[in-house]
Amino acid sequence: MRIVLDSVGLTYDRGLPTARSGLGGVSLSIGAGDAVAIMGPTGSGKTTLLEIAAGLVAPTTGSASLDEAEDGASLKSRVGLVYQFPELQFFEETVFDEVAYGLRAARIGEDEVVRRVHAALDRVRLKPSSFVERSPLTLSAGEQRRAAIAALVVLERPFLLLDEPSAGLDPRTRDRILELIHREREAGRAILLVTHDPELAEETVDRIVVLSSGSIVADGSPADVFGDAGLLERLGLEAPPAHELVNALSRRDPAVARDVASVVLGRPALRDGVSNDRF
Amino acid sequence: MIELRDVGVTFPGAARPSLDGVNLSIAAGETVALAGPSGSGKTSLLRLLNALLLPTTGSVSVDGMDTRDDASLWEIRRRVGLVFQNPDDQIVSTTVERELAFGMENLGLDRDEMRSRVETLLPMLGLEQLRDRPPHRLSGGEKQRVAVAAVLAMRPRHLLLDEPTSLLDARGRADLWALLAELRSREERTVIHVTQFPEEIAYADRAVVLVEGRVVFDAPPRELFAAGSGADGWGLRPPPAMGLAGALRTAGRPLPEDILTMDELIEALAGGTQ
Repeated sequence: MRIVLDSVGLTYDRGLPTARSGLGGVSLSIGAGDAVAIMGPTGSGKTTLLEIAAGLVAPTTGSASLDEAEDGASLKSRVGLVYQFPELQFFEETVFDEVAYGLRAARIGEDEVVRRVHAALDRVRLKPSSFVERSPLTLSAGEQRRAAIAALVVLERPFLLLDEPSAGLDPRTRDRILELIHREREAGRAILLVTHDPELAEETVDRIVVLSSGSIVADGSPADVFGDAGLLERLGLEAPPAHELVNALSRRDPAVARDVASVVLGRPALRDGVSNDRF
Repeated sequence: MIELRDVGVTFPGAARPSLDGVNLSIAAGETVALAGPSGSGKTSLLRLLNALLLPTTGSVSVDGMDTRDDASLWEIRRRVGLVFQNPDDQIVSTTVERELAFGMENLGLDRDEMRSRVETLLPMLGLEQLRDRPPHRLSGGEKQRVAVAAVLAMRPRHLLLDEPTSLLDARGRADLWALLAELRSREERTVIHVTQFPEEIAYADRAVVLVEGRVVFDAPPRELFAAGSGADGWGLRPPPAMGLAGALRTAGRPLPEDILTMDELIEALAGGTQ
């Protein structure tokens, strides 16, 4: 099964004097096992692209479709989108009801609902016995974020789309989101991630697609994209600290940059170095 | 001057207080970074300072006015501007320009003054091209800049920012910090900002760390990241430059022990070359 975006474009306020282009001709295909991050400056069309890939917004030009899927399957039924600040959508009285909402809407039997809600809470590391009865509004920000993600994970759709899943979280809670993305990947779900957090991208995906003003301007491995100092500078994008350091040194002293790169690049995660070193 | 004395906040039905025995005194013009894990009470503390939240125990005063005194409420809110963590929580208007004017209209400023402040702030926050656009149709980062501009337009004496850069890209973050530094140099203004970024903590005069509603650290940022401060136990990572410097030292590259920022690290490695 693949999400196929073929020359997808979107114009806001089409036909009106206020018309402006949100996306212009983006093509992208995501299949099982893929993990892709979309990065780019604010307003470059990242969220719009996710909404189109989730089948929630119809493109004005081009097409968004689900290929190699069974009959009757649609983007809407196979793709789960976790919006930016998903906890703002809470409206149920308890965490259980919140996470169960989508299953009940799909008329799934209550025994199955209980089983899947508990499994989903386990997956986001919220102990079911401690959380099912709580009001979602009394959880901490990190717990709320994970409960909101559980409400999507519970649907067990093959594609999980996340819009800025680490925004506003402390480093430890952010790590839990990172682990969660890893687990969902291992469970066979394809991941499409919008983020401004270069380390989150580096540690969770194999491919980064860079958007600028609604078009793809780069598409490659994290090492390729973060090693392209000119691109990052032009778009005002940030790389993980190790790449930032090497890129800055390249401008000053290429020999030092190469030496430093041999030490700091290719490490699986910067924080391993931190925890082994100082704390 | 902002003062919290023995402040406790317990929300109805909560098992433990959200803030507990907090004593803080913040002088006018200070820049304070407020850090700590999710749920440690950072946002509650900010809300206490403009009387959106009242203490369950203890007292909070702003320039000598008690936040529980209804007669002072208007003046406190005039002096203390709060930028919410999520811009959608505060944006009310139909265009960016009107959003900037909204708070000033409530303050009863005259039209020319409002216009002049709007014209100054739009370019400062990179919002000129967006002035006629409806805020709810902007991207997250653009909305965040609108929210900051709308509060700055009121020229609050004390500026509170709840993770003001969480939705911004790197350039947006750098631009906002440059703007705040410039405002600070021009007029005396207290800035209290909640942040998760170690490099943004390093920008403040003073770092205050909350854990489970209590102040566990209150000193200059450099001390926060010194070995043995406990920062790691509170979920605070050192700035990335410290970790990189450590990795390079371990690999046998000689480097000073006290590197905190990326600029210091680059200087130490490539110093002397241009």
